[in-house]
Amino acid sequence: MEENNDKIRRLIIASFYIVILFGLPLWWKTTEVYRAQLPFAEIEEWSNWEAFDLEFPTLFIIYVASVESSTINFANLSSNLENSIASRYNVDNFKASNEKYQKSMQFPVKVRSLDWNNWRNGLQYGNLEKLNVVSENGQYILYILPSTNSNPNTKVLVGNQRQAVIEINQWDIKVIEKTVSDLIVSLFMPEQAAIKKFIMEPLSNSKVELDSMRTMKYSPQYQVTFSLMNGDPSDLLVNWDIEEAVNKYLQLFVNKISVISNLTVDSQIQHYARLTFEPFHKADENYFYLTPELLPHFINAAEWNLASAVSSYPTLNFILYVPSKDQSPLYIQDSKGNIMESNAFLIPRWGGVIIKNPDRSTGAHNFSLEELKSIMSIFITQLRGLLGVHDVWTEAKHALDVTTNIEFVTPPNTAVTMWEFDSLTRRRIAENIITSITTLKSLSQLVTEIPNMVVLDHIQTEVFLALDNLAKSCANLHNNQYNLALYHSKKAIELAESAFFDPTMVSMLYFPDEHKYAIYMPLFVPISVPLLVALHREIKSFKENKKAIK
Amino acid sequence: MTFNIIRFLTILIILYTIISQISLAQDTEAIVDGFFSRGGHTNNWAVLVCTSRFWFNYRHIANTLSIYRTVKRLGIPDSNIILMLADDVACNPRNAFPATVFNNAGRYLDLYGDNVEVDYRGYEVTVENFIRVLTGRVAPDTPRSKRLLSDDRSNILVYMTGHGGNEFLKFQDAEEISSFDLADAFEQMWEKRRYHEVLFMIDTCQANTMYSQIYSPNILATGSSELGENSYSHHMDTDIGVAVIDRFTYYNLEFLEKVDMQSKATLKDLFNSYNPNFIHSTPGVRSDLFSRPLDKVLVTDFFGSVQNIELTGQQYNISNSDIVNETIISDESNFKVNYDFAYFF
Amino acid sequence: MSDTAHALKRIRTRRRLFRTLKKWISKLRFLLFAVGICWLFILPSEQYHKSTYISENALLPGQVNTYYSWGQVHEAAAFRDNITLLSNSSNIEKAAYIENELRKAGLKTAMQNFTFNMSGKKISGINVYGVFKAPRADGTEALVLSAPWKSNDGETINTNGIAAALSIGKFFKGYTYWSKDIILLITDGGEAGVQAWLESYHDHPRSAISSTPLFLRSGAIQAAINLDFPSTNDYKALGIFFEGVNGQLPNLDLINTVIRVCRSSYSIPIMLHDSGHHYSNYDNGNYYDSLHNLLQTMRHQALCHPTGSHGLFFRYKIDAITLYGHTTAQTSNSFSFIEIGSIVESTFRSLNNLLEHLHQSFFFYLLPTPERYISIGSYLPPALLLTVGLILQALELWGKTGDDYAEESVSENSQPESSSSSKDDNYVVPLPYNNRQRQILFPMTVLIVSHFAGLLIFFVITNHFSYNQLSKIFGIPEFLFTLSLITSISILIPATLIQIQKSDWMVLKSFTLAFTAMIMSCLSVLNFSLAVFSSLIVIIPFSLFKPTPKYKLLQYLQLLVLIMISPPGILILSGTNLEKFLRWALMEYELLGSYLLPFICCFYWPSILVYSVIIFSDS
Repeated sequence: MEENNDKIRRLIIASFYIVILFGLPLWWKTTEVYRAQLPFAEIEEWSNWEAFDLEFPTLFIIYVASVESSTINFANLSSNLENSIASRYNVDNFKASNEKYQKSMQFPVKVRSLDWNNWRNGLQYGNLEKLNVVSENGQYILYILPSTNSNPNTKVLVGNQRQAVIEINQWDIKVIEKTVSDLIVSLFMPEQAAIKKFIMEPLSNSKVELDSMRTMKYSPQYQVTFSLMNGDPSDLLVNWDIEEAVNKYLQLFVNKISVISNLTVDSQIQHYARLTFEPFHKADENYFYLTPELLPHFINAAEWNLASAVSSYPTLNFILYVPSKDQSPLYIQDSKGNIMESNAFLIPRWGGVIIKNPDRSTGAHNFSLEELKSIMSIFITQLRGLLGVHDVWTEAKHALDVTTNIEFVTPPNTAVTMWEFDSLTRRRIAENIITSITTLKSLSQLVTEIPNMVVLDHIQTEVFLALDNLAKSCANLHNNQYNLALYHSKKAIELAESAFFDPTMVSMLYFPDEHKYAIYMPLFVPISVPLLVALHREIKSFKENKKAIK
Repeated sequence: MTFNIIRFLTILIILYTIISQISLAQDTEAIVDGFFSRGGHTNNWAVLVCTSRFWFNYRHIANTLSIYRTVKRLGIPDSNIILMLADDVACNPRNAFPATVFNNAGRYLDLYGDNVEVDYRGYEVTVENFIRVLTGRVAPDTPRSKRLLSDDRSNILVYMTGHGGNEFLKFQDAEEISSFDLADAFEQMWEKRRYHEVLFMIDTCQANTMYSQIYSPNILATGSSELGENSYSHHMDTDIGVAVIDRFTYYNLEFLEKVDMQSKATLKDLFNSYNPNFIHSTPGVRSDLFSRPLDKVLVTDFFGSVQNIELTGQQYNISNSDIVNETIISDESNFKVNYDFAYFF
Repeated sequence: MSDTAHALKRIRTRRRLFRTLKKWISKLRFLLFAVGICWLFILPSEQYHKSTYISENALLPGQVNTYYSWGQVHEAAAFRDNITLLSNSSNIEKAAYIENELRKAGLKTAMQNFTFNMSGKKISGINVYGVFKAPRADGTEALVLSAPWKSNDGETINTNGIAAALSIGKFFKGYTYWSKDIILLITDGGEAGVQAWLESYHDHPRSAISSTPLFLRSGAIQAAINLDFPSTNDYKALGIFFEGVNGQLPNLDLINTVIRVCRSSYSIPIMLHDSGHHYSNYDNGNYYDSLHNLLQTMRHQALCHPTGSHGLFFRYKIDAITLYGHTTAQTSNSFSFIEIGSIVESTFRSLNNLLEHLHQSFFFYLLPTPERYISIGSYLPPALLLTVGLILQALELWGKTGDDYAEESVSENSQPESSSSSKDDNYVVPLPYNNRQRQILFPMTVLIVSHFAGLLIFFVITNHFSYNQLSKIFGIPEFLFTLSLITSISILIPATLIQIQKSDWMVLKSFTLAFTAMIMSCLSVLNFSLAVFSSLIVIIPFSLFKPTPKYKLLQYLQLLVLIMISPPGILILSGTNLEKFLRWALMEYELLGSYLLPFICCFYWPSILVYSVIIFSDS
């Protein structure tokens, strides 16, 4: 009877413990936070330079005019050029301390030298178009001619369609090599330096670096606003034919750039746009002027309505300012005290301002299409700077020595030459890839650090797609398909940003462990006390029984 | 002999290359004329939060609006200011001067005025919305004025006021934000490089505990009182019947009122002007995460919006597509003859 | 050890425990009672008090400028003169005058006729009230400024009070910073008028008041201030009345606000109620002043009687107090309209800041001085100590009537002597315990029947005026008829019970003590004063009385004491007119819902009846 009682009692206690045993994993599972699995290892690979290797291959096809007096070994020329350019690319200011970086980013150069037999024909009869007119990013054609005059300087004419003509005085292979490699390096070096810098220190921005400070961060769309600000409409009414001007002068640029980013354009006119300060007055010549120290306060942000409420994309503001009568004529002086011809200035990452002093005699002034041409040129210059289109000519001119005369063909009405466009494309590809990688890395770090954060399925999808696009982009670069590479890099950054900024990823508020204990203890401790005591008693009686039996 | 010449030439070439690289690197800096701030930021944002509601917390709303007026006066546009007010005291029926908010018993300046843009009002001021604004994880339909669209070159001023305690700040009488949440939010901002530098200013009781947990770089923090101390209001307006400003903010404003857009006052001057005897509590400054020395940081780096300027020297000449002859820049007739086909390029 | 061994051990421990308890219990009882009484007398001492403070941060009392000024004082003086002229007019003329003035001031006005019929007496009157809708608020909340026609003594006309209320109401209309509506209420007919108005306003017909329904309404009332400034002279001290029906009190913050306002702007002496010490700034009085104030409060609370019109607002969760102008204090300064107006204005500005009902401060407290309080946590222990003794005694008696254990312990190994012993053949092993049955049925019957008797008495009293016809037949006034009925009930029923009683009295006494203790302790939380007074009267007789069939004299002495502590006995001894008291208690019960009468009839009286049964039972 007693054993029966004992047995039943032990069964009862055991059943409690069995329920706890089954319940514990069930509770754990059901109180888990839903976290879709992210490919942390893969992201780690990418951010450690192991998975990606960026390559910006370029191919130069050099047509060397066949001059009777010399024979040129084209194979030698090609390989020599390749070697000299490659060696010059690797000598730079940035001592690559990072071995891995050296391996995974390269600027391979291929040179193909060809004989150009009927060069006189081609030149004179406009038959150059029968030669390969290349329109692909990464492939460039150089034509080398002997110079026909006695000018000792080498003349270079860089065209708008990825072609250049070099007129060399001394028809010597060494001179040819040197000139060609000088030219190539001068045209491409600044871009490479920028890309290298960006990859090495993608997130450092502590120094004042004009270039990175001026260029807008990449965005798939920008909003461009043209504003005509009138200081005092009571004595001069102003108007402008902005729509025609934009259609005529800017549309082609916008179309061209649309591969990289879309630009939406709008315009406004504002009246009574006063300045917050009084400009300096030059009494003897009766004009007003602004110095560079005053210009930072030019924009009267409080009263001028410049914000766009429409889109969340970055805005570029271009202002044409007409000062009021008591501040006319208004000029900008540079830091040396000379009046600037353009009367314009650029505000990095914001936009640009031009000050115009129109004729006040009639009481109203309409900026006509012709007037707007020069104004739009300045705006376009500023817009190019803001979008990161670098003046190839300025940089190259400085790079070459004085014996070389480099000229550039007038830029086209698309406002960007192919050289510049290529450079911009390459920079943006690099920027997008690096930014995507850092974004994904931040995302994975965030998810790891905060174990309570919910990670939904669509975030996982986006991350996978982003990595996929990154891989495709790098593969495209290998194959010299810059446009596809740009497309994939755009998609990669879009996906990465969308995953990182997903609204569901607001981390749970700080829930310290003490709070968890405080909540669970009143539930579990009262139940556990009788269970433990019963178990203890059972064990004691069991031991005594054993002893008693003995 | 030729070998020597070749070697000599190679050395020359190498030397020239090196020099040209150096000059190239230097030259790019000197091309542009203009005015540049030394801080490295290109735009300024301000996030001003008042977390308490009810009529007797009039002074918190007055605090926030005073800072709002200051940053607007010093140049930050409304589009770059996120103003969060948890209650509307200007239109509260208890306000004896309707549609106004004052921060001084003399009622010199109406803070509300006719040019105020409140982005988050009333019950929209919650901990979740605040963290969403900071980290950028807002819902897709959030309007532009409610987003913090800062980038890696933005200096952000974050000002918070309300009732607080040891490592927490009370939002609207119903919830709290802890210092850990704040530190995590700043870290997320840093991960995504959403700021260049941050000045975090907080005026509550035991305010200094609120910034004790921040661990991201480039953040400068200042608070009104130490652990265990209360922050006090400055004075009452007996016609309105409530206290109208807190002491810490009052003395900050006293300094900031002398600052204008061109001022060269530094943050070190601002922090040196804090006098615990007047403020009746011990204000604190946390600068260990901040890289620049405080005597080089201008007040307008955070409170104002001083932009860099580059003068535009060169112009980009747009060509018209129907004119071909103008295309050549050269001055050699030889070129002209030979290169009429330039348009191919 | 085996199970039986375990059980034996447990029984032994228990028995040891009970024995110790039994030894000490009676001593403990007296100790507790003594400590309770002494503690009650410590309550008024200054060290026991805490300073009052404002708990609700929104109130900000005294921090705003008041603008009530001489223009308003002149208006108030004009009102006063007019009201004095009307003092002999009829109700209708008075009401018409008030309504006219309110309408001229721009408020929406309405009148309310009401009649209260009770026990032959008829109270009727006309209330007048005006509503000022706050221009910028949504009208969901309201504050009430009221002034009755008659002051709290029932005779003097509240001239200054009404004049002040009218001028303040008119003055409030000129400002737009109100977040709640203001209701100006001039009531007639004393408490009946206020009750009529409140019942109609909240659409809660509770009592027998019939009144015209109210069509002009505002929002939910958050707080009310009642002005009682009798006659037309200046005042020396400001009295504050705050007790309500059934001893309910307003939130302490309301009183604190008024006092802070007075202290910050004026040096008006403040007193609690209308007698006792008047307290100037920084004056806390002495022990006897505090004792006086406490006794006054406890008296009003024990009688469940509101000390002014404000007391009727508590039923609807509205905090209210009455401000009274006291004329006979010994101070040199006096105050009049301008101080009254400023104080009321400042109080209303503070109340205006509120967002919800006052809830932060205490609802249960005692005020020994205007600026010191005793919270319920501090004053409740003595009341409970008094009743704990009763519980202990009940347990002791219960124990006594239960199983009886022998004093010596029995070892488990004791064996009976061998049967071969020649000492005693009839030796029987004594049992270690004595099994007794308790008689529960009879004590329960006694209790139930006596409570039923109490109910019967209550029924008779509340309906005695309907025995008009019966009493006319007998030719005696109604009151005597009622009284005789009651007396006969209270004698007959115990007598019958005594006849049929069979068992011992201890169970009955234990039940009664336990029941009394339960009632008293529950009551001490609701109405501390009533509980304390009842306990003090009842504890000593209840614990000491027991039947002494041998000493008849003692029995009758006990009966005499019982009669003395029964309700009629107390009333006769204190010299109050029985009829007046009865009418008064009945009216309070019917009009205000006071539970003094039910308590006396249904709980107090039956206990006395049960004890009369106990005294005469067999031992």
